[in-house]
Amino acid sequence: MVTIGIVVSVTWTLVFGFTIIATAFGAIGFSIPVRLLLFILVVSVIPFLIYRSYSRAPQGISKKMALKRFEESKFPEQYRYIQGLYEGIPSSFSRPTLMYNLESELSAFTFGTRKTQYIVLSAGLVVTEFYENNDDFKSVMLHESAHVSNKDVDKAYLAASVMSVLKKILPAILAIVLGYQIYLMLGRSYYYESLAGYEGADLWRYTLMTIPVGQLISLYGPIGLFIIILCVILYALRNQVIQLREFYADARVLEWGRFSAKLERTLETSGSKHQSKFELLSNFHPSISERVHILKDNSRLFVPSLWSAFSLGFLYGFLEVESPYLSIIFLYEQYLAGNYVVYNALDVLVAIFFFIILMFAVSSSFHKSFLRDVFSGDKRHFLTTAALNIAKFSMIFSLGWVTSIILISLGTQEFFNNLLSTWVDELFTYLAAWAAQTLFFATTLLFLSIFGAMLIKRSFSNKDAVRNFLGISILSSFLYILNRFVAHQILNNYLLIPPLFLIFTILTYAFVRIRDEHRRCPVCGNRLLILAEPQLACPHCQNNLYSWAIYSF
Amino acid sequence: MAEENSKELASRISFEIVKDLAPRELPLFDDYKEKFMKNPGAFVEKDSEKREKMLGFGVLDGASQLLTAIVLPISFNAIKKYVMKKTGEKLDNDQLSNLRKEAYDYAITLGMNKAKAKLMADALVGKMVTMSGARKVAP
Repeated sequence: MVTIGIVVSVTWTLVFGFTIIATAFGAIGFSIPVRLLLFILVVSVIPFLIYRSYSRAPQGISKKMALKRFEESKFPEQYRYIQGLYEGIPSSFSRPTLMYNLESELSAFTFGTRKTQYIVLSAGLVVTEFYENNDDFKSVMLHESAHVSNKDVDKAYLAASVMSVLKKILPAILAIVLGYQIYLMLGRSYYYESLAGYEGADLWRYTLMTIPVGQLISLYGPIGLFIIILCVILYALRNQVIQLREFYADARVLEWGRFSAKLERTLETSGSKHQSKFELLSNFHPSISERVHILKDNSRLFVPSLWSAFSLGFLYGFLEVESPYLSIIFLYEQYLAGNYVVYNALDVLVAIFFFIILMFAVSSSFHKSFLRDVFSGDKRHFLTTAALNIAKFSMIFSLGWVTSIILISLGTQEFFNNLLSTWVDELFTYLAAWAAQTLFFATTLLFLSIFGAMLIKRSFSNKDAVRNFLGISILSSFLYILNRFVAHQILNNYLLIPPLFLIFTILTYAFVRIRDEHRRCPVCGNRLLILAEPQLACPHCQNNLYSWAIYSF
Repeated sequence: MAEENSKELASRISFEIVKDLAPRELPLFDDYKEKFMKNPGAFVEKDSEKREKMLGFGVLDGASQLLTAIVLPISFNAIKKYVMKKTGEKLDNDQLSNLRKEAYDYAITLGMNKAKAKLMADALVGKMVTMSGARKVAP
């Protein structure tokens, strides 16, 4: 799932790069081959920059914070104590490199890359807290080790690298495009004004007067506004991802050490000040009260985030509207008109690919709730929560989508030329679009929920889980694309949605049942029966069949 | 050169104070000394590097008061003010009393608690007298 996390982050970056190129360079009038070349350039440069930022982060942190290696010869007592703590952690845990800094505050953090991970302890923690409050020292050490075990470093630092690159590269692309357009306008205008006989200061004055400032603002203003909004959303999303990892790290500590009461006490006495909702959005850490609450009842960790739903819907709306080349309908229209079918087929493939990638994020969020529901064994609870999650997520996703579309229309001249009655009409159009989008997405999520939960029960290894996750996410994406674009937009027939759903469901169910005949234990190779209640261990060799499940999504 | 001598003497005095009052911090002494020799000013800013860190536990209540980080700049200032400028002269009781008070106040402003600050100020005066040659004049 970490790989999927990486793919999602990188692809989002590509989406933004592509969209900017498609809209801004398209507006200048570059031909499709030139746009494709620019797209390839962005596609290759942005991931390179992200990877560079990600892989260099440890060096940068180490240098900036003057970190030093935590060695046994220097801190023998503490070192041996920490190694003793590691002994109590399952063998799959790969020990990080220990470092320390000279900060007197009592804190610790984890950083690194997928290959090498580091835990940094502050000097205050090592020489004071270790002796004076050993339980707190232990809580902190276990929490940081849990970050390592959950592979949070990968997720958090990749998310941070994407954010760091995006906030620089998107404005840079916009500035280059805008600068180039102004340069072309100035050149053209200068030429014509000089032909008209103007010279010296007059020539420049008339040249500058011909620059359509309003047009440039109306063209590039919305893109700039969107970059700002996207960066704010991504910033808050990154912080949400990192905050969620804090909860998972606490949950992992409980799983390891039966250390609940002491961890709770450490959190409660940590004395962090109360944070407002706004502060929480801008912080890496959740509030202490929330952490303590989740330590007592972790069910909230397995609920799909509505903030993610809104953000994903918003991004998808942005892509659809800002880049017509991402719309599958465009291929159909161009096909009818006999234009550019080859290039547009490529665009549509890219569009399908991007939607699948977005669906990975949605699917990942839902798989967390499947995990809880499948293993809780409460069918009534399962059905109720699944139905509620689908309804809430679809509505909020569609709300994000329609908000994006409304915001984009705010940047158009037509919007301001409209009469009040037109605005009212448009409001109803948007409401209808929101309802339709909710329907398409709810159908997709229903399909995902039915088969995601079925397949989780049939995943007996991490490899199985990844394969099933990918398969069902891609199938759900295709169902959405067929419903939304083929049934609704091309064939203009809502009635096709139920039969399409049924056909997909029957075929997938048949496939899953046929595969059931061949499901075997990955350790002993004996056949496993799929029962209504999942068997946690293989009845033949007692191998734990779901060891992959915790915190994987 | 005088600056280097002051730093070196401040380091020696600080080491002795840390050894007496906070021996657990001794493994960190060389690190702090190295940082101090490079930039004595860095120690004056209170919690200059304090900020939220990604994948951290957060900051536990009651910041630790590491003596080493505080005693180094205080000794350095004391030596510059009371020893280097008065080479060959002895400090009288008033000067020692002032030195003690200044050290105490400075420690408080850098975040040390009162009890520790008092101990540190007393120790500093004692070490200054015995190690720097700033001998106390008989009353």
